[in-house]
Amino acid sequence: MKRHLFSLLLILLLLLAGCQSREVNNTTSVLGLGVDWKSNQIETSVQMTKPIPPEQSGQQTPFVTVSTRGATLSEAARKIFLSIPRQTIWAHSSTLFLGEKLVQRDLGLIMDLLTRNVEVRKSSLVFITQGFSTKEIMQSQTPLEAYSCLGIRDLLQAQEKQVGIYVPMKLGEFIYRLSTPGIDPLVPQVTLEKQGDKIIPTLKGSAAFRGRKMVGSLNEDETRGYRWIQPQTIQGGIFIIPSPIDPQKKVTLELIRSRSKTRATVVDQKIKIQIEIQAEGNFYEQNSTGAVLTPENIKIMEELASREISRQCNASIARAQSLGSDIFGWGRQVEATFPETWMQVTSQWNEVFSEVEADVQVKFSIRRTYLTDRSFVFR
Amino acid sequence: MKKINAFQLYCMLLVMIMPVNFLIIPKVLTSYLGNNAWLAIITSLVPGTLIIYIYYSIIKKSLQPFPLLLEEHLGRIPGKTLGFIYVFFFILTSSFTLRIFVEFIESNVLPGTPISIFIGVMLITAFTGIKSGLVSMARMAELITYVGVPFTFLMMALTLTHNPDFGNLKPFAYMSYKAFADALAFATMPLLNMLPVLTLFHYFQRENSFKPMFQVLLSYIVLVGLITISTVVALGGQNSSLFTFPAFVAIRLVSIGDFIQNIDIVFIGIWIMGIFGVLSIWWFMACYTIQQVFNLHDYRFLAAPTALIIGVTSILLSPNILELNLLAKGVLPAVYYFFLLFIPLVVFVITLFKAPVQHQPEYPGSENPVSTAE
Repeated sequence: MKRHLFSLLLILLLLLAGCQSREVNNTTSVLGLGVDWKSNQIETSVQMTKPIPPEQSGQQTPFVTVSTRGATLSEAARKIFLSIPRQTIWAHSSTLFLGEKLVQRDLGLIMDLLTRNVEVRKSSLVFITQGFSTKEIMQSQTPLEAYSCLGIRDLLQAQEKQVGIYVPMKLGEFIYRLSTPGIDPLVPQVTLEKQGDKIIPTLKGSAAFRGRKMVGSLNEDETRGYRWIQPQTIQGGIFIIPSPIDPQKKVTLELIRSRSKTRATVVDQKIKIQIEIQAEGNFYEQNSTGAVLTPENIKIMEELASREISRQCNASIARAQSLGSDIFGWGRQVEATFPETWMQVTSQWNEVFSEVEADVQVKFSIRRTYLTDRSFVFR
Repeated sequence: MKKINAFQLYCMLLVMIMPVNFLIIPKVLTSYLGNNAWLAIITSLVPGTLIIYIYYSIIKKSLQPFPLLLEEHLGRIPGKTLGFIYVFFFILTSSFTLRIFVEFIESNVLPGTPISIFIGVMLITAFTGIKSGLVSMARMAELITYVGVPFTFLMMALTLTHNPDFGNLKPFAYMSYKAFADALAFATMPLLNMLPVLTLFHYFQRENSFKPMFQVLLSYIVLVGLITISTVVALGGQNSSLFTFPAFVAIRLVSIGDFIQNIDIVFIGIWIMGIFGVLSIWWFMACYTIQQVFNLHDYRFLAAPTALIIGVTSILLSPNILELNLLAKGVLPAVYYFFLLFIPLVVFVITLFKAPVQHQPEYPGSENPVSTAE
């Protein structure tokens, strides 16, 4: 009897396709979501994979970007299904583009749904568009990567190791910074640039927020400074300092790793921030001749590098303070260390933040010089 | 008739506590204490030990299992009346467990699926568990523990891979006394779910029952404490209270090397096993209490009719998740404390004036729960 029952259950198991069964042929994967503000409405753009027969591959783009508008984000997003005859799978969506116009207007228009919706992965990378709509960015084509959403995502991840300018911002972190007092988001911006006869997406600047709005941008230099100050280990990237033997020439240093510690102090009711950065890197290049690699010059270059990092940090701090955007989370630092003081300043923190004095101390050490330990010598 | 060993008792009690509270506790405690939520869990060691001592003392001085021990200590009429009321309480706890399961799955996993399907599937599996007897449920609890505990540690570790910010745990202990007291009361409440030990001890060596209970308490503090800490570290104190199930949101953020991600579905599978365990044991308590109150020869046949009551009650509990959360945070604690602490406390006070008893394993009806349909 039991054996028969077991067999019956096994047979029944085959019929259990699940409540949300869907044929692969009737589905499409969403790669990225874009939200923008256009004609007093929310415009949603969705990039989806497009199945292409093998014989036609390479002749057409393998994705479609569909845009719709609505009074709310959910209405605009649902309207996509008026023009797409397939069910969408959101598990692969890894990028979220927010239009500059929208974030300058009010994030309150969209954040509730982005937080609440189970389909929107909180691990998605967030980008703010610059000078172009989300639709235009998503419709562009990235070199080497067939899907622009994935291409821009990879661009951000690759630059971190190679160039070291922008800090990726995941949606989860974005939500955290918007909902937590004393810390504001800084999000990489993406724009389109003409290279040869092609227009390709490229990263350019970072969007700083205050409360629910984007209030300005940080340039590359200032964004580098923000990256140094981040309270986490950063790895990779290069930066340039003057040559120790000829200030007109340059030396390129590569960062191995850097870690910063931020400490808040309150003296006579005045908040002061102390930032200590410990970094180490490799000598990467000199664009001149001459014996740069001597123990004395290494010391000089370490000092120059520390000064350069400090300069970038101060540029970043000055810009953030001029915008009143606490992208470094100093408010959180004050709250964590001096909760009583925080209670007094919390309501006018953005104004207080702009006046906070910051002291940046950097110690950079050069470790290695790769294949050669002397400068190149011409015959 | 000593068919449950110490480890099985530990597993059954742990299963009673962990699965539901794994999701609920971080939410409620962060809403009270923000980044200091974990302090309430650690402090629950003190009231938790007292609760265990109360249960243990009752066990030591009782000849009969719950609910018959109510008659033994309070008298026949009050004991029977209370036992009868407890039936409704156990149906309520079963229904609440089922409803939490439904709300979680419906909100996070399979939105749009009719809830009757979730209710039906869970009731059928738990029904099978009850029908197969207490020993089967004990083995099932062992399995759930073997899978669930290591997985909880793994989840906690993986959650910390997502931009952990230990600064989120500061400022340390900056909170109001009232908020802390409320949070402590809530953090202690899950430990009251060990009440079934008053029935289970009858099938276990009572002399050793303190140890498994205390191990459960320590496990609760470690597991729920760590998952609360990792949730706060990953999401922040304020942000955690924003989400309905913050621990689940933290798990969803896990992404290692761009290829280990979307692992929440593994969590869901194991969590469902845990919910099945909790539901089965609360439901068993309901059926067993009915059997003892009405002097019936078996409790298994009661699983079918009570299934309907539990299913319907779970739907009627609240019309939406907001009211369910209000119920969970505002009303249920009072009900739980009344039935799981206040009445046992009264029994405990009465037993203070009694001498410890010798174990009587051959109590009529004791065969039923442990015998299995081999």
